[in-house]
Amino acid sequence: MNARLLSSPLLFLVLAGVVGASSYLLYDPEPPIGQPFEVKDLAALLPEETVAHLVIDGGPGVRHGSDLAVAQLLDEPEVRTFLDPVTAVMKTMLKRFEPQVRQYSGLSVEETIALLKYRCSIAFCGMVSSDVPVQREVPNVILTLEFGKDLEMVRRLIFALEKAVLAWGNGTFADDVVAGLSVRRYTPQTTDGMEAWYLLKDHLLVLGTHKATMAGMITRLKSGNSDQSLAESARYQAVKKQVMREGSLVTLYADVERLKKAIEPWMPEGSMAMLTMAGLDRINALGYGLDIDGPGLRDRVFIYLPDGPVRELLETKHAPTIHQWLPASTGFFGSTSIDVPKAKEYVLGLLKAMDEETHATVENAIEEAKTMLGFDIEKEVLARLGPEVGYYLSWPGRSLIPDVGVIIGVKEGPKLAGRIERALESLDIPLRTLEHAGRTIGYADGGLLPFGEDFPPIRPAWVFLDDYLVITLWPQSAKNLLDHLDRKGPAIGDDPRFTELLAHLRKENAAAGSAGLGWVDIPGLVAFLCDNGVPFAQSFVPPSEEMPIDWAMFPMTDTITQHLFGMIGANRWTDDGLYGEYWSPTGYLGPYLLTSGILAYGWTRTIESDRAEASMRERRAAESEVIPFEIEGTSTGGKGKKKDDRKKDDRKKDDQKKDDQKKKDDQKGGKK
Amino acid sequence: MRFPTSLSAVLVVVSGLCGQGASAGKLVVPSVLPADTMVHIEIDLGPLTRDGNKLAIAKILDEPEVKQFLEPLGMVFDSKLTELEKVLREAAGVGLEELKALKASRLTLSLLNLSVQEATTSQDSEDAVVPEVVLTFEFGLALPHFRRAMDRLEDMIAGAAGGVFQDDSIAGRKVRHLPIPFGKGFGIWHTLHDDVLIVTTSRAAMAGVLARLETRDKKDTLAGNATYREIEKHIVRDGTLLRAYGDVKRILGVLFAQMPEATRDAFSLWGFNAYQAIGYGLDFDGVGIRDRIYTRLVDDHGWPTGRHLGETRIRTHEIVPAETGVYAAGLLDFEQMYDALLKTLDNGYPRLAEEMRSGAAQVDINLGFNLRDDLLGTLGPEYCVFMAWPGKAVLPDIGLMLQVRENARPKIEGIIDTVRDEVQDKIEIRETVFRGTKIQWLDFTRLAGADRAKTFGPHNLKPTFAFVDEYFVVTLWPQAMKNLIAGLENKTPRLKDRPDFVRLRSKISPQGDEASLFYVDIEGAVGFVMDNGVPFLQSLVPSDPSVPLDVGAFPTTDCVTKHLFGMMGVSRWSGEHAVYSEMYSPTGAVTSYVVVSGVIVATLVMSVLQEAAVEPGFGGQATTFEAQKRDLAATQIAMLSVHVNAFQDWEGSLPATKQWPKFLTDGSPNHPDAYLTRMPTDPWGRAYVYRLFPNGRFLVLSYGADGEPGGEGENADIDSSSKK
Repeated sequence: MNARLLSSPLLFLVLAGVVGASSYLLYDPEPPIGQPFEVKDLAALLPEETVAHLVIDGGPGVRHGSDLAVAQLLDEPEVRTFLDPVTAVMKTMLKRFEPQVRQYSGLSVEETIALLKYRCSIAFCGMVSSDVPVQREVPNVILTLEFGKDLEMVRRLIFALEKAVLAWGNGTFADDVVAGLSVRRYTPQTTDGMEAWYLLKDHLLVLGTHKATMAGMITRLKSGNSDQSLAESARYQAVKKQVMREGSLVTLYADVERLKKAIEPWMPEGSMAMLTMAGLDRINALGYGLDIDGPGLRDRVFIYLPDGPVRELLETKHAPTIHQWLPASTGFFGSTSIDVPKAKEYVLGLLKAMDEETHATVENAIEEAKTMLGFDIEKEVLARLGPEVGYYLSWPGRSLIPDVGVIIGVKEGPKLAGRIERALESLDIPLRTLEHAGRTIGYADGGLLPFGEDFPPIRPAWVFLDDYLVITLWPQSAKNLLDHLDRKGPAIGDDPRFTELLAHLRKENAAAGSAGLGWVDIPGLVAFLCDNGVPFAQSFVPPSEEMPIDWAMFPMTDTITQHLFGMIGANRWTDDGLYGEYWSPTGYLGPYLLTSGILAYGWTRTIESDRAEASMRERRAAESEVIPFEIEGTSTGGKGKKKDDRKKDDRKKDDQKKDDQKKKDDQKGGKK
Repeated sequence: MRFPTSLSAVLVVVSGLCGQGASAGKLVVPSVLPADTMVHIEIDLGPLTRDGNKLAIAKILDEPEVKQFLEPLGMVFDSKLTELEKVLREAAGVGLEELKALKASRLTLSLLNLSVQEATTSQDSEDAVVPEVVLTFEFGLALPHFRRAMDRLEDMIAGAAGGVFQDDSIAGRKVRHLPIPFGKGFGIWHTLHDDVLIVTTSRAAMAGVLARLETRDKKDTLAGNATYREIEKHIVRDGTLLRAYGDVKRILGVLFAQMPEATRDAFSLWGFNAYQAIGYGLDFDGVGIRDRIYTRLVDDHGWPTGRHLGETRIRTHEIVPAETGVYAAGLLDFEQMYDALLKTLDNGYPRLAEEMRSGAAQVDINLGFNLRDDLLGTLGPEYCVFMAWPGKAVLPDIGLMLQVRENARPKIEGIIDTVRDEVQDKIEIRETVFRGTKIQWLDFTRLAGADRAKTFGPHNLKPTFAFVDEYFVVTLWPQAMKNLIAGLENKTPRLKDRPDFVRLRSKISPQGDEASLFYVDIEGAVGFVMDNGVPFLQSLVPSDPSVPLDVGAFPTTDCVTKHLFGMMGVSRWSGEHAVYSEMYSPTGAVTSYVVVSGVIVATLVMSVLQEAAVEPGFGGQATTFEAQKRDLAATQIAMLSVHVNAFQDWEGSLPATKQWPKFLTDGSPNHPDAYLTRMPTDPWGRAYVYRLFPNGRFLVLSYGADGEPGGEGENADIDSSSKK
């Protein structure tokens, strides 16, 4: 491991995320038993006008992290053997930064990591005016940290931070009094700084950038009165009810309406009007929560949307049903519902708001199509589509390429089929049909389209089931699905791997999934990656220069997959909005962030490497151009030259000496 | 849906859809052939028509989905067959309907002798090998039609061969004769005996056949040949569709006489001298095809028979996992094999034998163990190779298993330790303990060198070995070994538990006393190919109007695989001098091999023809191809010029003409390393020319296609002053 590793901020973020998430495993001098200390209702301290509030609580991680499937997986002897060298390197790496960490935070690395078991939060309460050091708008931010019994440690931290800030010379600290309590005040010296106050009270550290807001918090803290606080806000309460739990690891509340106002000055002109036209202005608040729920992580999302066109569009009374007949080999599926005719009106309305001209063109095209086809697309096609729409990816047999399908609910299938075929024929798309399992599969023969090599000869296929239209990428997928239905093969909706997860969500609310369902076969995906990736890694991947990863020691696939289960997602409408939740061994957002981080790291490394190579090429080119210049005798000599150049000079001098000597020898020989 | 009748007529040959046929068999052809017949092949279509429709392949072709897919092809066949019908009627006076009667026919082809006729004229530069062949055709139900057709067939053949059929009389029978000027005495003689057409390529052969027909004495006939009888007993059953017999020793005798010595020695090295004769039989057995091969060896064959292995049974199928797709196991005495190999080398390649002995001695000196006694002597008799697809893997776990003799494990471990110490500066032997078993693997990082070790590539391979049960197992990567060990520990099903394997083994080797055993999961292989190939076919392969098949209608995988099962083969020693092998499969082992080989050969031939098509004289792409050659020459000349300049940089002067091209590969005084590892020739296979002029200029050049200075077009010279 070298320090270069940390030079990439992206990688550092990824590593920080990994270290943070698994800190309870890394920090193992004494296993944390942490009893939950008395936590404060932070929302009851914050002002009602709080725009966004993010809370990260390490406590539940310490208490319940070992229940997680991922923790059990990491605890497998095989996995430990594989990861031990990596863990050791990470610890060494962290130790290497001990002096810097201690200098700036006053804490050891272990103490810093230990802080992660506490609850911290950041709240953004809009922009406020400040006169210090110059008059301008500054963000009104409140940071809190609840630190349990480690008061001394936090004092050291604050002392060190104060020292560090002073050392940078950017401002001064002084004692102050806010709402009758002694606080420390930071006054910036530079124009880009911000005033700040901090207070340490009852194992709570509060830091704010606006004195009045700070005063309000302190007043509420002292009195225990939550009047005009965020906790009293109806929106907050609605969001809290849906996504925040006693032991949430992460919660986020955003007052979208206030957020829009706060960011409006920076938004492109007309964008707010667009949001309004799209009906998104009716989204008043958003909430996110992440809990440990048994062996899995539960992500909860709530969109506060009491009414409006978007809700009308998406809130149908139809509950998803495709899981009841999709094959059990389905690796991914998602299903929701939408009012298709309303969707058309919605899109056209949006188009009109965006660009009148485009809207008119589309309207004209629809009218022309009506004339050309001889039927009304809206009445005879769109009105027969929906409300359920979904997709699936399934891996039949030993296929590597999944069967991919889009599913749309239909009414009056045979009539609709006729209309669709007529529409496709009018576009001169060569159509074919075949009979399979008592149904007709239609497909467009892309192989007969005159696109030449510019377009792959794909053959998208479709088949009408009783209440559904299934569109697949190729006819074989449609056949596989029909075979499955014909032989009444096991459906994903009957598979315990799926039903147990859904039942778990429905324990909390029986309506879970009534507005949408999603499923990812994580064990299947991981098994596929391991079964194929590990032999490749063990045979072709060179040892890493940065991490002591020994691919030969990679754990068995079963060792990993035995702890895993699928990811299920379920949406439902509440009186106030749309509630969605995901239960999975990895968390919904976690893998996204981690994957994005790793990809971004890889990308930056590639760019760095390309730059280094380009620079090396330029250097070589420059060097090669220097030589003839020197030969002509215009060189200034060895001084100031690069080492390589001097070597070349030496070599040429040697060559010259040899030549002279040879001439002398030849002359002597001639004389003789 | 209409299924074309003519396609049915074609498929009858494959699937026996035309109903029941009667078995012929009045004439026992081997009893009219001489005892020293070299090759005898017999095809009896009766079993095909009787049992063909029971075959798995026939059932697949009978699936509605498959019929739907093949329907357009059938229509094309219909029209082609209608054309064929016309041609047949005009040429031979029979049509396809009459040809259907051939379902009860029997055809034999026998090679009696290969006589070498010396070149008689100056134009014949090589001796001619003239085959003496006997062909019999038992018409069965088709006889009346063919009697009608004979005259026209004679005209056709005579027309093609450039002669006229004449009457002849041999042994008192009327025989028709067509002389063909291919070799002395070569021609066509044919006669009809009852409903059997007998055709020979020499008068003597016809006379022999007719004489034996007359005497009905089996003495001195192939049927009376003890080796043939022994082979026939093993390969022929009631209903054998195809049987073949070859007197390998005699065939090799003729071929060896014509072969260069080196080729003959190569054949010897591969043990061909040990073959006396070989027999092959193919018959239908329920849904599958059974191939039987009987190999008769010469008395002093020297092959390790393993007869002394007694009751030793193959049991690696109890170790390898149930998801094994390919499995081959056998019993072999490794020491005996080593001795036999050395003996063969001593006879044909004494120098190689000496090198091998010297290598073994070096091992003894450097590593302190005897290759034969200490290593081969500790292994066997069982060995096996397997390929298994665990879980969702696409890459198979590939492994080799060698049985370790009782108490021999410490000895092998000692050898491994010795080798580890010896090679540690190049190859590291690393190890871990997995579920109680020590796994070791080779790490080639040091061998690859610091720079190469950092790159992707096969130098990162980690061949792994471990002792599992009583076997020494080698796999391509550690994970494969872990999968094997974990499977055994978790008691997951093994190959022996797989229903398909169990059913096949109980069918062809109920005693479990094989000397070798192999199994291929055809169902899995076809499933994998279809599951992955069909989406590719349906998405990326354009429709070709000239091919009537619609890839969109390709049958589903299950509709094909539900009729399939694995291929299993077993071999056993039959006494000290013969090996009997038997294979059972839905496709026929030899048939599959022939089809696959045919496809490969056809592909190669096509590619060669395509390549030839771009050569001058074949038209088409010649100009482009020639231009590419000239481009290549220009590039190589530019590269050579760079090295000439480099020489000048190092040595202070341009290379002298006499130094060309030696300096390129030998280096120069101040540049002792080679400038090039290999001196290229120009695209026409000639050396590049170097010219040095008094004014200090030089040229590297090629004389173009004609190899002569000057010329135009493709013959024009290309030199380092030319522009590409």
